Amino acid sequence: MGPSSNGSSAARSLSVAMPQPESGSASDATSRQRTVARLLEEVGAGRREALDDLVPHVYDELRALARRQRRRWRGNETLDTTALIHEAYLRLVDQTAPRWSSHPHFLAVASRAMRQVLLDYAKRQHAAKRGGARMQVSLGAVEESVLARGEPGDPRPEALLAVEEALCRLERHDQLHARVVECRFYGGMSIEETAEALGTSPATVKRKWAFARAYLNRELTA
Amino acid sequence: MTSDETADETPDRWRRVEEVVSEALERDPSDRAAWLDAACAGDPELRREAASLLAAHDRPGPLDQLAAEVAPLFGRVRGQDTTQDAPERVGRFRIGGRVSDGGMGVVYHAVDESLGRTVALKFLQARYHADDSAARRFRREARTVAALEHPNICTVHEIGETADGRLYIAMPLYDGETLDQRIERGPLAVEEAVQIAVQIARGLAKAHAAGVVHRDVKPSNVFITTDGVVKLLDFGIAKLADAALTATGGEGPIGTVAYMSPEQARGEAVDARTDLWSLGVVLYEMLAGRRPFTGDAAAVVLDAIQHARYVPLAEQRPDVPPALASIVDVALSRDPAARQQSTAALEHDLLALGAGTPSARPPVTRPRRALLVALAVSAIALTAAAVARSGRSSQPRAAALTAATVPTPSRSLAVLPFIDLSGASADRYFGDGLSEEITTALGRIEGLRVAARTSAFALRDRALDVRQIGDTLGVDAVLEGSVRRAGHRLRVTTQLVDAHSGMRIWAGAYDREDADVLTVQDEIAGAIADALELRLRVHEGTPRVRSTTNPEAYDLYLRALQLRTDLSADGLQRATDLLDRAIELQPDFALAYAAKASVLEPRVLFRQIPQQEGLSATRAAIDHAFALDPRNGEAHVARGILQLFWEWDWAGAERSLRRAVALDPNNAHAWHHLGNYYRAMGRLDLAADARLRGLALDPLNARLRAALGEEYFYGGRWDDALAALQRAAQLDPLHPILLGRANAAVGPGRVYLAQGREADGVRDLLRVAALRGASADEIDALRTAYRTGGVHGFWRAWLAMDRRQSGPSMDPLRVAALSALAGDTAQALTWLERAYAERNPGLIFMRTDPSYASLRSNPRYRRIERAMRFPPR
Repeated sequence: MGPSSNGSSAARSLSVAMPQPESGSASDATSRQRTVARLLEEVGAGRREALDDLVPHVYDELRALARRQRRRWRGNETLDTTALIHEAYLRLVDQTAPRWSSHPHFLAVASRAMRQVLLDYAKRQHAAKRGGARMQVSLGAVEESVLARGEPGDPRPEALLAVEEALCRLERHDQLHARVVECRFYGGMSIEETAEALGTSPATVKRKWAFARAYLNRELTA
Repeated sequence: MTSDETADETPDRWRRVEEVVSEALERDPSDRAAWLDAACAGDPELRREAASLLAAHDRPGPLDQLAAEVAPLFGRVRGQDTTQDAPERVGRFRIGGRVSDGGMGVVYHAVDESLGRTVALKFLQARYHADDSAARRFRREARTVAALEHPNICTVHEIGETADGRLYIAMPLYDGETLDQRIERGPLAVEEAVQIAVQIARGLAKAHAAGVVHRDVKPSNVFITTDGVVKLLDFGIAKLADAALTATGGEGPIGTVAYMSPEQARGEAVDARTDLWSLGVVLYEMLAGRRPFTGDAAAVVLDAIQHARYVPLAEQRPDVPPALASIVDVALSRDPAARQQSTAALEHDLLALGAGTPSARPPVTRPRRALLVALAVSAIALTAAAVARSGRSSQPRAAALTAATVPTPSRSLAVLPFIDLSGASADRYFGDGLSEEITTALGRIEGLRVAARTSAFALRDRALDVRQIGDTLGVDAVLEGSVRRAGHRLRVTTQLVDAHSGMRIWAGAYDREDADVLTVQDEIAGAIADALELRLRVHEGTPRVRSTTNPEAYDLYLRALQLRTDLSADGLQRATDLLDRAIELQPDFALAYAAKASVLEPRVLFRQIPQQEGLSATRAAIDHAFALDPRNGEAHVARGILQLFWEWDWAGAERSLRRAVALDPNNAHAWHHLGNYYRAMGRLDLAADARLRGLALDPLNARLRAALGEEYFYGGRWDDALAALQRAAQLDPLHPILLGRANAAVGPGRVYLAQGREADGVRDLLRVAALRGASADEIDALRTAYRTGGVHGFWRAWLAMDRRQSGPSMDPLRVAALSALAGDTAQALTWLERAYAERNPGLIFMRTDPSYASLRSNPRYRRIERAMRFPPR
């Protein structure tokens, strides 16, 4: 695919060109990669909390990529999450810790980041639709029409927001439910992968997922 | 209000809800309600909450839809994208997001811009290119499947290729989920699993009959729409991958090899029976929640398929009836010859479980054979009833020689050339002509595929047994026969043989004058239709949702349905009794309630039971039926009848009846009443169409045939009317419609009179009078009345006879119609007003029935017509 692979190689050359010490700013790609690699090792060594520490790094990486991407697309907010996350993966995992790339722990982190990215996207789309008049000033007709339509097959912003809202309610009652939903729904992880990532049994994941899915479906239908 | 806003939503409360829901999910779905009652005793709020979550669990919801949209995002991230990217546009399709990844390709959302519809566009993996011979074969097969048009086969809109030679298939985008998504939520209720398997079998049977083997039956290729309709996906695609999978020693994904038959796993040639195995695996997985053959790698799974024993279903799932477990065991025979020999046979076995299979405890232990016998007995009873009915005919009819053996669903048959045993002549014209005529006559029966004459005749002189013929022609049954001529006598013997078992399904012998050869042909076709119609009805009409687990109740139900077509007081009374007994045996037998409504209502109509009492019993039965199963076509018919005949709610009647035929297009009864609706609206063309639809399903239904004759008569199509009425009279000369007991007589006599052929008309009406049991004196009186008073005088005398025979309960509307025919306008209007005062249901046809033609300009007539609030024509 054209734009994203160009972007990905541009980003890679950028990170190689500007090495920074590990204590450098959070926006710096290379230091982030090192942090990620260290945190992954810690997870591998059994420190489960390191997973939670990973999330902001992955997310920051995604946002940085998104900013570059948007500049390239001149304000077009159409979701290209596939490209974004794929790039984030390439940068954070493939380059630094290839053996982690399909590891359930990391998939769980990415799933959580995906939830956040989709939420951001949904909020922007939603706001753009509401403030249609203001947007018209800053966007050309083409971008406006793309924005209003979205691409067929992109998740619907309203539905994503509704899921988030219901998921937050669920999360208040039981964190594990929300983690399972992240892995299964946002990350497409199997029952077994989810169980391994969350350090619990497949049976528990199955049960939690069945309940959470029923709950969310019901809340979204109401 | 969301649940966390309720005052009592404490953490404990929340945990309790989750606990109850989780435990309920571990139980068999049929037990859940009872279990919830016990677990939530004294806490209705908890029960409500848990029940609503369980309901949400059992069906696909918004989250699942959204998951399909999110899936492509992470699929891409995780490197699950195995195809090239889709172009933005292919032909007239604008391509959007990805819907899913199938084993053989990737599915995209797309908009067909020329038709403005949304479709699913599936691209085959890049390695299958349009110029491969395999791809060509696939395309040919896909076209064959596209032409099949079966409700359980996913429609293919189009097969095409991109500019760079990649194949794609355009198909409808259904709402729902695939079976593997459903299974992931846990094992299915026994009844649900059987219903799904039956639909898979039906789709496969249709494809097999056309010579197409699916080869990749697995849960991800079984789509279940939100209406519960199964759509089989990806016919023939597996063939493309076959070479790849087997050549590499089965390096395919485990999800695909797990459903392969042993012969497929070995890379051998496969036939339709490979699909039976795969269906067996799917059925096992639906019930057990796990596959019978598993392993860490494809090669291990393939080995298990060929050598390992699977854990018996009964150990996985104790509530699976032994009969069902044995169906799975037979399908999972390693030797293809030991499996069911057709998908139709498998479907039949599943339906024989009791159409819905037992869900109530204790588990039914009745062995499969007993169930089959119960069905066979009911089939025999029906055949006997059909024969008894035809036996009343004034013409000599054939004696049924046999009606035995287990009924096998036969949806396709071949008619072999009849052998001429007369000996003297070498020419075959007679036997050939006979078979050809029968082939043509059978071809008119909807739902029955008849092998073309050319192919059936091609087998002549080849020493093949019936099974080989069945295999060669791809048919379920073979009709063979012989004819012997001696002088002017003609003897035709014929038998219908099941091509799978070699057993005789039906046989008949006909002794006639040779001049009657044409009627013999029709009779044979009719008798076969009758014999097969039973089977078609058993299968097609079998309820989707809730049926009976009780073969005795089902048998009673079938017998009641048969009696329903006979509108006599006695027949309807007996049908009501049979249904009451069926309901007693099986109190949640939704179909029996709907059928009960459909026999109670005509009893009210024919004044066999008091109106108010009868109608409220009818309404109660309808409500019961809807409560048990809102998608019950019969219940919609019954409601439509109430709305049409008794409530004069035209819009409501149209809605109900159209819904009924949409839900169950194979319900002849529904078509009949949709015809009544159109007749009431004066749309005679549509009414006739509806009757014809019904007759295609139920060709021997005298009531439908007579009603069709009425339609043609009302519309002035004399020849068509005569043909239909005469045919109806052959089917059942004593049918109330034909005897003028339902409305003013509409036998052929009325048609002759309308044509001005008075002598013919009177003669035919005298025949009808005799059939009604008029004495010789009465018939003389009618004849005299005509001689002295003309047609008016004749009708006056007829009315007098009818009043004597019917007594005080005679339908005032019939008095009105006959008075009008007799030219007694004032008397006709008086009785018409009486009919209106009692809300006589026959009034709905007042605009159409020519009996009232002489009254139409009268203001009293028009007042009533206005009061009926017919929609403008």
